[in-house]
Amino acid sequence: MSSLKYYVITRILLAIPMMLILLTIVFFVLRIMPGDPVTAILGPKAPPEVVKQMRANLGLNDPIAVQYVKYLGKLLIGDMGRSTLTERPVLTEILERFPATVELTLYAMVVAILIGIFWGSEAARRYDKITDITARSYAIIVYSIPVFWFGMMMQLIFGVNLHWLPVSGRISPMMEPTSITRLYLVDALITGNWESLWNAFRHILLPGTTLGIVISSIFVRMVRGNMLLTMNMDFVKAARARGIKERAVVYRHALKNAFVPILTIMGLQFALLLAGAVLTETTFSWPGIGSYLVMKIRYRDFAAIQGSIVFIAFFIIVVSILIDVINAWIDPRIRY
Amino acid sequence: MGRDANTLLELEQLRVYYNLRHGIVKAVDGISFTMKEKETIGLVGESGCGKSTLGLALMKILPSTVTMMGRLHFDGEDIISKSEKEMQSIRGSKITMIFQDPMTSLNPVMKVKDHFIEMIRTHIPKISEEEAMSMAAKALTAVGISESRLNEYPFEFSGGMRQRVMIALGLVLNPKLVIADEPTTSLDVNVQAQIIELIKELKRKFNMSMLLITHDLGVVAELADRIIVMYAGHIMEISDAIELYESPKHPYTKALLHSIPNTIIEDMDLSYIPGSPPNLISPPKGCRFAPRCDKAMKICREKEPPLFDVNGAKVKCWLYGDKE
Repeated sequence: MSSLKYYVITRILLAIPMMLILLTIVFFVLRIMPGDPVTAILGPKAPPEVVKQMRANLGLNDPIAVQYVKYLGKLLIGDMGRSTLTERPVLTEILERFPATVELTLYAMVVAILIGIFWGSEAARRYDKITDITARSYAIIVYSIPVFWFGMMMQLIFGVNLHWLPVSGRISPMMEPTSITRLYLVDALITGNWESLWNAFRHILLPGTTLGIVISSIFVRMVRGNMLLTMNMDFVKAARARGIKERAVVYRHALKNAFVPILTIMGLQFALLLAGAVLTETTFSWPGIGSYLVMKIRYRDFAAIQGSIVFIAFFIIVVSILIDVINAWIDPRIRY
Repeated sequence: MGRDANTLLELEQLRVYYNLRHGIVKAVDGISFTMKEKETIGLVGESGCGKSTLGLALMKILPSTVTMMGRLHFDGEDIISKSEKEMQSIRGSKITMIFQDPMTSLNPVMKVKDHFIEMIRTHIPKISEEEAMSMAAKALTAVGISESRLNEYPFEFSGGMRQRVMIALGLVLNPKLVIADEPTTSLDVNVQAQIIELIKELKRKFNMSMLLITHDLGVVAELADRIIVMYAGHIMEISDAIELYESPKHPYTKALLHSIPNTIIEDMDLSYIPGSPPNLISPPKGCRFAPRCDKAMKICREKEPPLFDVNGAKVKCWLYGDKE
């Protein structure tokens, strides 16, 4: 399948200038933004000598072009600088936070995709019947509910009133499983640590389901809309005329053809979540990238903000290449 | 209507109604005819006269808003009372359909061989993949495509080639009846001729019966033994093919024949039928063609004519009956 290989290589090469443009924008936007990082760190009443010393240490006295080249050069070797707040390397801090976000994202995506694909397909199949009408109402209502409000209601019902589930955090203290992938659910499963698994699962249930349900509203509508289009196509009718069973007609013929636009949206949503579901993470005190970024913005930690944005952008680019490749794999017309 | 040993298809007062929000569309409204084994019947009429609906009704692949009434027997079995599951086993194995637009009738993300394997395995679950492949190769060779192309995707084929693939798919399980719904309409003229030749050859080879749905009187002339002329959900004339061309009886059939472009008689002006087919929600009383008919009489607008026997043909027109 050399055409697919060729396609993948082209997509990766095209990503390099894309990344470069992005890095440049991030760099300059942060320089233009109001708010002086040194004042933010030392406070307005700091003595001028200390401020001067700090500026020199941070390299803020260099011409902007020099700063830019240094920034790119350091990024190449994975150096995102140190947090001005904690003095720790930004990349280390981000990598500590990232697994939590990945875990939440994966869980929410599974929930959203399951609801989206099945309900969306069934709604298209039973167009204008009760399944379809409920699917449409569900999508509109859930989509318009603010995620933090929905999250708080979940906390109120299942945490505060029923005492069934913990309302915040990733896992109870001292319950962390041996670190392998740093995704607690996966680690606990690999090491067979059932107690940790159960504990971590109870923690992710509320934030993950909240996020998953909210995102599923988009997926239900997307899948339904695209399925309605493909279900009316000639090849679906032709497949029926060949005696193909209805389930295969819907899921093998119609859904697979509807998948290219659906997958694009799903992939972008996935990438967006990897950037941190800021509201959900904050509501549930989930120690991920989203809540990290919010905290760093509050303290004007330039290095950390810049680092997080670059890190997130990198993942969005990786995910979008992956989507393109999967689409090309599904639909041969794209790769030829 | 008695059933002969070699009767394949039997329709009696078949009605197919679409129940829409603004009324009931009587797309097929009381149609009766029988079809013998190995016979090819051409079903002719303007767009919207119900001919495609009739084709789909024979396989029961119509939307859920459709009601079917009357009698529809295929190979001795009552189609109307069959469940969806029973119909699935008939579709593709005993009755198949060739569609109008080969460009969109194949699944674009499935290889040609997978179309065959999926279909063969649906109907013969225990067959091995190799056997299914050899059946597919045989069917493809029969329509003049090299079996090496089984591994390709539909978009790698031209329109004519795709229609050949569709035909091969239709024939791979040796069906008793093939319904061809405008099989050549969307093809280039020279490709049309090739496909017609192919169908002719395959008819001989496979001994199949065929219902050829088309608005193209030229195509039916090449292929059909008998011709049914439909108008607004009714049969207007049933006749042997040659008879129909030599002496058309119904004014509608005559008008249709006059509207074929003819390159031999150069001076003849091309005529057309004034007006358009009636609304099938509230069709005209009496003969449905009467409002557009230049021979319409008073009775035509008041009373629906029955099918009169005229020299072996059947004609639904008061010109041929006693008008009491």
